[in-house]
Amino acid sequence: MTGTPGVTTGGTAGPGDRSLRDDPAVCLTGPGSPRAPLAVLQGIPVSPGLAIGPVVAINPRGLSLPSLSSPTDPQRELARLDAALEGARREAEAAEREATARLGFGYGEILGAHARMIVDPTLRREAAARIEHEGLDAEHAVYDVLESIAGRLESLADPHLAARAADVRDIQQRILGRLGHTDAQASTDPNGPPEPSVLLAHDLSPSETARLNPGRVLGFATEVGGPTSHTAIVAAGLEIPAVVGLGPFLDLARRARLAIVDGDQGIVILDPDPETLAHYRRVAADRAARFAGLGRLADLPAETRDGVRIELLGNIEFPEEVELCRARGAAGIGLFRTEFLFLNAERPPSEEEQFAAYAQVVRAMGGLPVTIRTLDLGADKFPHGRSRGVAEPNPNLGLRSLRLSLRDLDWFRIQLRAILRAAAEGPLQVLFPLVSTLGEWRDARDLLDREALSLRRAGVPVPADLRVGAMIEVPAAALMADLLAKEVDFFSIGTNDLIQYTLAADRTNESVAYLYNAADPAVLRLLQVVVEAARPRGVPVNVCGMMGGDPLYTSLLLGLGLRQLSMPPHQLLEVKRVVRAIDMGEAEALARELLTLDTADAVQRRLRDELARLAPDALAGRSPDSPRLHPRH
Amino acid sequence: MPAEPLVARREVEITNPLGLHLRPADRFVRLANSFGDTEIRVRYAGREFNGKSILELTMLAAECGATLELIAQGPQAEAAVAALAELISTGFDEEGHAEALVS
Repeated sequence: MTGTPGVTTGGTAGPGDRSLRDDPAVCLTGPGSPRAPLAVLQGIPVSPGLAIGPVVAINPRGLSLPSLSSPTDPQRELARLDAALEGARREAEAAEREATARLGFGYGEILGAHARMIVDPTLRREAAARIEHEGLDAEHAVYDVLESIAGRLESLADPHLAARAADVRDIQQRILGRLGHTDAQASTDPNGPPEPSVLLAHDLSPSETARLNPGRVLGFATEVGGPTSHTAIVAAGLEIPAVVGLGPFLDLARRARLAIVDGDQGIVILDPDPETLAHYRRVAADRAARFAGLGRLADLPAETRDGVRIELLGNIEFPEEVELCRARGAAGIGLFRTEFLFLNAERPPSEEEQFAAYAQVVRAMGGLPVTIRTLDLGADKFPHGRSRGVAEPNPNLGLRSLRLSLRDLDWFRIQLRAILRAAAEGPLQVLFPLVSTLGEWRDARDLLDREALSLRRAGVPVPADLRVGAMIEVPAAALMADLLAKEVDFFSIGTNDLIQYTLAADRTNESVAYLYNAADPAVLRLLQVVVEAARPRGVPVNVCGMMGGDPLYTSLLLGLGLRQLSMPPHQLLEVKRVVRAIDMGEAEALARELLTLDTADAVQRRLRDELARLAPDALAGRSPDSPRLHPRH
Repeated sequence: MPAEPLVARREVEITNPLGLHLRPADRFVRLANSFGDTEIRVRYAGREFNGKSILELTMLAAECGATLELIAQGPQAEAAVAALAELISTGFDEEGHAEALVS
């Protein structure tokens, strides 16, 4: 995506969009079930931006159907249907002969029954009706008819009959495969729909998401998934607008032609009516204009009106995201997460593999500092082939992050060696996550020093002045920050966990999520404690959690004394714009005032007023009663 | 000219233990399709299905002991009903001599 973060309109979503059904009655007259012309679904926003485009639906078994965006030619689709049925029948009969020869008559007969299913008169009639009366293409028509039959079979009490659904799905695949061989092959690859599209799926794994081509996937929405999933982080990293956790919607979505994915509000709209579509096109155009304006900020300094320099840094998950940070003028990488190498791999990555990935980031930053965080596994993040061992009743208070690394020393040593070697490639600093006590900090620090020593003895260069920091995410560490400050080279405040542990509220638990609030006065006080503890020793403090990238909090954080903020790359310019509107004297007064307030609501109202004053349009797209709280690790 | 009636009906009970599962349904459909010009319907549990559609017959979910009504319409109606009733009442010849049943 170029220059317009999170704003993607494309494909056939132009002014002359022919994908809309001008006559909604058309879809009510076919033999299929009547379908509302517009459906609005609410999910969890995980990657901001607005995507408007034709739909590519991937069913739960990984089969994707081509977009229904362009009007179909019924005669052509009927011909494709007949050719596919004929080809699939011949395939099934060949399979029948082969099975009969290899396994015997009984087995062959099953495949022969598949051949009869393929040429079944009911299938042909129903599929043809959908093509002629509903304007479906052959793929969707076949999918629809067989999916409805398979669904009915699955609902039967007799397990023998219910299992027949598998036979139906088998021929479904066979016929769709034939259709694919003619001209829809590309569409079965979710990485590359033939035209820019909105991807709708049951779920996308982080690795599937990572392979998505932002040039062709305008946005995506899934039935499952949560705000802290890696899929969410990767989507934000790729700047593909995304909504997850929508619940079952694919049956509806499969027939949709156009979808809007609103990654700010967590809304997905299928087949919008012309007014809705026009509204979202205007919003998208406004955003595009705003981000085009922001683009000019990339090379301007992040400096307050009164000339105080602020370091705006990028949070990244993948080496490929370095480019996004550089393009937006990041002063460095404030948080390089390292879990990605572990979560998608069959086995733990070797020292060489890790070194290659870390060094790639350091080199790509061309002399700008990179802060690399050691493994933050556990709680909701576990790699393949490595379970928690004992099920923990309370994983967020359990063996996770640095605690887990210090338990699994073999893994940890390998990672530390890879990091130390990468440090020879450029300015790299090491960050230990979830430090709870000074003892824990010292254990981690000692281990790093020992590995550095062993490398140097082996003749491997390791910089003598390597900077090592502690992440402040546990209230205990915040309260001990004055003593920690004597031993660390820097602090990085992970606000997501700090808020969760301070308020004792799991942000993913709907019943208590109302307590999880970055604006809570208790959170503000802890931030103040850390900044004050670091100040006398000149220890730099970075904020790398969600708060750091949310313009709502920029004034407050600067006023509290913070001079480094780290955020997802797509937030860099927006925050820079706010920074450049801030007067430090005013920000300090604001922070003092906020520290006297007694509720999160009061703090938030005041912050909202302030942001409205500094950057009136920064509040656009932000819903009035829910500040964007989609935290990511 | 044979004076065969254009519509024939017969009720028949399913006797094979697994009911009308995939292979019996397949045999039924193959036999039904051998009566080209004759329309064949199966009525069961108040609903009617196309006797030449294996997909519809599979959805019939007829178990052992269920009674089906066969309705044929066309030049070979009587012969079709007789042959199909024979197939069902003999348990679909589950021993595996399907070829003999297909004309």
